[in-house]
Amino acid sequence: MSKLGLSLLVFREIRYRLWQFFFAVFAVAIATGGVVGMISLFQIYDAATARSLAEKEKEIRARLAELSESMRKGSLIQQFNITILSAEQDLASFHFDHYPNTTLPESDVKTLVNSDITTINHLEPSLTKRIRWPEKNRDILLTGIRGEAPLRLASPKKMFNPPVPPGQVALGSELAGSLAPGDPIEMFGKTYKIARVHWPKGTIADMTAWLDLDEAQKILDSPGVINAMRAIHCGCANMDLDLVAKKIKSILPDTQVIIDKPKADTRNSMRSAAEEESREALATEAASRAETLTRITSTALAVLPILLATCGGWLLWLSWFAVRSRRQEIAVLRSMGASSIFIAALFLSRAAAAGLAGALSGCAIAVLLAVTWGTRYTPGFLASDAILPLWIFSAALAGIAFSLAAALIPAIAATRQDPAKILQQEI
Amino acid sequence: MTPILQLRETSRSFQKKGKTISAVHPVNLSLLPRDFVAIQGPSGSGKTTLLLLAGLMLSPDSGSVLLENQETTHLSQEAKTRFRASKIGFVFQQFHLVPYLSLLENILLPASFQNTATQTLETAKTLAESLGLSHRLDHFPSELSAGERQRTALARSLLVGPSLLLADEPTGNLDPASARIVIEKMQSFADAGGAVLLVTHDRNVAAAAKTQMAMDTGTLSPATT
Repeated sequence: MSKLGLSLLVFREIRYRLWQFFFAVFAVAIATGGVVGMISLFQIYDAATARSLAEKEKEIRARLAELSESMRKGSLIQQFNITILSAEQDLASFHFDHYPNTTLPESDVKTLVNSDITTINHLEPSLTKRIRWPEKNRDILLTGIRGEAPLRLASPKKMFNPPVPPGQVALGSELAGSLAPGDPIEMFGKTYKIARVHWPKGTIADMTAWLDLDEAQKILDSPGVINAMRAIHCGCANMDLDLVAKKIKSILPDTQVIIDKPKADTRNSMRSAAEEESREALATEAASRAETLTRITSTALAVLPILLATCGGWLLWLSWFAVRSRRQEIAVLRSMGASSIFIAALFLSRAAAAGLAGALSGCAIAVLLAVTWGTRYTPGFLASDAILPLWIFSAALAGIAFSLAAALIPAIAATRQDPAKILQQEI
Repeated sequence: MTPILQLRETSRSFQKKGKTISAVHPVNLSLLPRDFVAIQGPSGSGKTTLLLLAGLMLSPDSGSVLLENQETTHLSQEAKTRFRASKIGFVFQQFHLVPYLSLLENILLPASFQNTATQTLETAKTLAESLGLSHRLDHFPSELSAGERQRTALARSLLVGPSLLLADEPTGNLDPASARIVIEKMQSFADAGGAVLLVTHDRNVAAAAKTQMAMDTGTLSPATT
């Protein structure tokens, strides 16, 4: 040790005037902590908002999908949008009897299934006829179904009208009476197991028995034919149903297509209205959160400058005080040959040390408080929302710069002190 | 022999409440190696101003200050600082030790401002030993007596091997035993080839110098016994 380094002098001086240093560190910590704390809170709120909105949007999407599905099912339960009948079918008779009395070759189903049509999601071929149920001596509507035929180009959809397996029967509520699924029932000289019983609908469906299409064809003595294909338009592209009908007619020229357009439109408009309502709710939520964030920002913009000015003023005063209380020391150092750069470095190094210590402690406290606050009051809070390495690094640099800026003028003043004047006063 | 310090028609005045006060009238003073000059005078006579002029801490209004034959009057503040760092040692009545440094560190302090650090820890310890401070090296100024503080200040002023030692009332706060040690050290410094300019109003201290002068209202004259 032949020379005392600047760092040793600064370290010893800090230790000697620890309270002064502590006050300077405290001032920087409050300033830095204030800024980092505010930024962390913004970030936490912003991230929470983004998460909340994303969750709400997801919820809305799920609800809309559910709504869409339930309306789609509703449409099927009530009636399909599209019914394909033989071109020869008299519509008056169809509407009076509730079923067609003409037939189509079952091969038409295959033709449509393998066509390039993409706007139909579900296709259900059926053969329906009013028939006497000999065992009960009453007229019923017998419908043979095979289940939904999957369309080649349509995206696969969940089947909501499952087929009836051979040897089983699905019954309308009126026909089932007190029987339940699993019970045996005699029909047309054969024992069937009840596959399911439909809830009362107050329509002809209550008087309908559904069998496997092959079995129904045998009972009705109509092999290889059906008398209707029911389809549902996907509705997603808002395509004109007339165009869909034309397309079907072009594929199956010997058919006619009945469209229940109001039902499809109602379904689409209900879906749109629900979607719009959800979007509006989401937009309202987003606007409300944005307004809150704006309010917090305004408050921060009002408070932070006051905080920074107060801390800056405090640091400035502390620096002046340090220069005043060390004027003899400066004069003596000057008399020993200390350059003005060395004197300035003594004060600025001390300020940098206070800045670094203050910035780090300020950041640590601010992040700790932000994490505590976030954990307590922000649902789904993630610590990463509050711990922003880039901001913390920047704040540490800013804290040092802040402390240096406050010490700069006093440090320059220290170098310009006239040591002779001070020594003359002291001697 | 080259003079270490020369004041040629050097004067200095101050402005106080709009009035010009002449602190030092044009003086001529030359200190050769081995000179030990004591200047006596009452408070306010201009002794300290003269000392600060000699130590390049003040610039003269007129005349010149030569250090080892080099004119210093027109040198920049930084150049004067460098001169002070290598050529001049100061001892003050109030010691002016740095409170947060130990005795040894205080002695070593001037070495921090040297471009070429030839001073070593050994030099500092030798100086401390010669002034009877070896047992106090790790103590801080607040733990030292006034005499020990002044001896530390003297050791500090001698560390860099200056050619000129300027002392302002160095024994003003000391007991006789400590004062004697300080004066003896200054004498030995002069005997070793340095020059000492001592300012005091203590006749006994001044008597230890080879040359005594008097200063009154800014005018320097040979002392009368």
